[in-house]
Amino acid sequence: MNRNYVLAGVGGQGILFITRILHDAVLKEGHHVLVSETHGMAQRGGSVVSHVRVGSMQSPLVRAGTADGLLVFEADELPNTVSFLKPGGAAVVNGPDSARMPFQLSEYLKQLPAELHVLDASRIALETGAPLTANMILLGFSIERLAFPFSYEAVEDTVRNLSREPYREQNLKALASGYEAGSLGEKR
Amino acid sequence: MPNVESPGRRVMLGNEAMARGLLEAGCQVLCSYPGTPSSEILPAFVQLKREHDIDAYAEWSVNEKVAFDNAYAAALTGKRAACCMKQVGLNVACDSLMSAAYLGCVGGFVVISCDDPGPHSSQTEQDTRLMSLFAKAPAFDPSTPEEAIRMIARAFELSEAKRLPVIVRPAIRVCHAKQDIVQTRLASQPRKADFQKDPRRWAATPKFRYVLHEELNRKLAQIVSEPKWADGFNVQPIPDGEHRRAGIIAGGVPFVAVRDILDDAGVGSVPVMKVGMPNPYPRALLSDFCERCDKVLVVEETGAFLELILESKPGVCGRNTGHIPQEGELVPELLYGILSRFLDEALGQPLPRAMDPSLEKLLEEVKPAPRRPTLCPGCPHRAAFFAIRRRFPKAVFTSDIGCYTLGLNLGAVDTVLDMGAGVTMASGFYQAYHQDGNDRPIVATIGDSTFYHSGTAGLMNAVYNRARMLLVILDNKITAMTGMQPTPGLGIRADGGVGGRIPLERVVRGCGVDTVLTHDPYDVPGFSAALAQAEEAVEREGVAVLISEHPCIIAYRDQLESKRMNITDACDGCLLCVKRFECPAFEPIPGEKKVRIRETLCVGCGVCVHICPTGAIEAA
Repeated sequence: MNRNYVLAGVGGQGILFITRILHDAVLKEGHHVLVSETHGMAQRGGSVVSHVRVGSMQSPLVRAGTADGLLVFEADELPNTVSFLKPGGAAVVNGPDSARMPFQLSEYLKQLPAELHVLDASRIALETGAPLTANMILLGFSIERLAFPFSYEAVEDTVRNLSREPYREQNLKALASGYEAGSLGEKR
Repeated sequence: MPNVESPGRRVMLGNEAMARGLLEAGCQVLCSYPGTPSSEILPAFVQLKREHDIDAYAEWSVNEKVAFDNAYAAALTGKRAACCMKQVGLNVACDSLMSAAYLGCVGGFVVISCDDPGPHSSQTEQDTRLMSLFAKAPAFDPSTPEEAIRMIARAFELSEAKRLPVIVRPAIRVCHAKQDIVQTRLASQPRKADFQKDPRRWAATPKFRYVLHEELNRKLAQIVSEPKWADGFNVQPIPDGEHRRAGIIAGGVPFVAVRDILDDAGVGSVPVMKVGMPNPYPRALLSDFCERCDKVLVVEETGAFLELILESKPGVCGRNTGHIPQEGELVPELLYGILSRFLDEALGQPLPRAMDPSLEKLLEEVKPAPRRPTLCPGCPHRAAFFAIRRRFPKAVFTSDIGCYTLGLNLGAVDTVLDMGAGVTMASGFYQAYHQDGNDRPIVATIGDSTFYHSGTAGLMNAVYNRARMLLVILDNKITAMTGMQPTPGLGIRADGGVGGRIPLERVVRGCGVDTVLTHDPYDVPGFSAALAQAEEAVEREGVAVLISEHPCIIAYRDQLESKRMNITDACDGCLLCVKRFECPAFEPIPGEKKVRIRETLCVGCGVCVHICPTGAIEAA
């Protein structure tokens, strides 16, 4: 079983940190993992993309049309990365609502087909007084929606290990609230 | 999925893996100058030696040539040594590399030069394998972080056995890939420095260089004739006596990308020859493979290297036959199309269609707006560029390599050639205009780290040859773009230890410049006055330098005195703050002739107070 994920956003949104959490949680569950990251000039407010591949593949880049899950931290980056999704895949997008999406884009997702889940993680984070935890909320929300191959406990452990004080508790709280919002309940 | 849990297994960045590989191979000295995609190797080396209490030396050198020479000297004392850099950094060290191949070494000497197909963060897509051919230094081309570790070990063995420098060429998708890798114990190396004098060799005169050249050629011929060096890295998969209609030759990152695509598409039976040690050419193996196939596609990054020698063989195709583009990265979706067309041509069996045509059409209509990189909100360079542009609307602006290259967006950067050219091209422009008696104002910008790297020779030359130009050194107290490495101006060394501090001003004066001013660009009126003062000095003396001094707001986040900014009703939506000042924290309010501040992005530097034409921005 092989899985491909793409994460996209802009510099400063903590995407590299989320990437680290993902690959460590995947490893904790005993899977091989390959990642490709954006460093250097591309990070300076430009688009930041991470690829996370789980399984027996050898090259670090996800091929367009083969991603099981797409995690977009900045709605404007969806048009840039939507081509990675495979038919039957799912996207989680940080944004105010899905109604503002360009017609062609929603049409594309419908025809592919791919599920779209929109969550205004930036607003939620701002309301809780921790604006920088939007990435954690989004991660928690995606665990079930994007069917990541690890348990909530594995990712919680990883966040605990990788978070620096004084942000640890804040991150765990944000992760939990996102997870609750994204839980599929009996649908699973 | 296989269970791979193992106590020593950890996910590592390719650059971190290579640092590990260096220490596993007993490398005692590592020198580097930061450059994407190589920058994380040396810091990881420092961290690992600390964690494992290993006695190894690491330095950020002033530039790549300096790094090369320092490491090379260590290799002459019998120690294992390495230097690492990005591919265009090797241009700077090329003079040393060419000569070092002739002279050889005693302890193993490995040069890690990281390529950037794309390019993502470089001025060229040059291929280090061609540099290795030019210098006659063997080269390894890893496909994955894990393989890079093994290749570094082999490179040291080879370097020591044949006494010559060996290149390892990881591309960006190795450097910035991450993979789960088993950790091993690391231990200190006991070798002591013991330089055996032999001036006839180590200071060889041209007459003896001929002999050395002959010796080098013999070494290379030997390496090809001993299969152990390329064992496991150069693999010809077609069994004796068998023949195929289609075959693929690939090395480095494209090798694993091709493998993944073929396996994924269920055509894993198409033979793929792996070339992980491209120099010296595995001629016999390559010819063998080509003879066993009717048609061969050569897939390599970044240039045509293997294809150069295979071109004349029947049925070989690649970049030079139009099957593969001559530029850009071979990303998997592009490669998919290339492989599909080739297999269709050779076997009449294309790969399954990657995407439904109607979806493809929709996707084209989605047309993403590419997001161009910009200076961070609150970046001191933005303030400096804005003031420079306002003061010198008609100047030629030469600039250099670093974050501040993004002064492009503020109309204050006209040229970027390479490290140091901000200074040299400024004097060049001056002389070209001056020749016609038609002087133009010339304003050069260069960063602190870049100035230490390669600014001084150009500055001395400008003073010596009586150029008239203003040089603004953008001193943000760090090498920012590559990930916050210290500079000689800080007096902090690679391992955090205390180093000799070299103030910029002293260096500038040493280059013969009399007027050297220093000012904080955040103080917009004061900085503008300093520019005016510097302009007068240029009139008087020819070359003047203004040091724009303000620490990088990312590296020195805790020093930031943040103000809460407000936009008043005086805002008339002229968008100067969005378009000309280009601060990402400003955004137009949709449907109104007004601008608002994005709280999550604004760092409260307060520079914008001085740039708004209607004075609509104030600190709360």
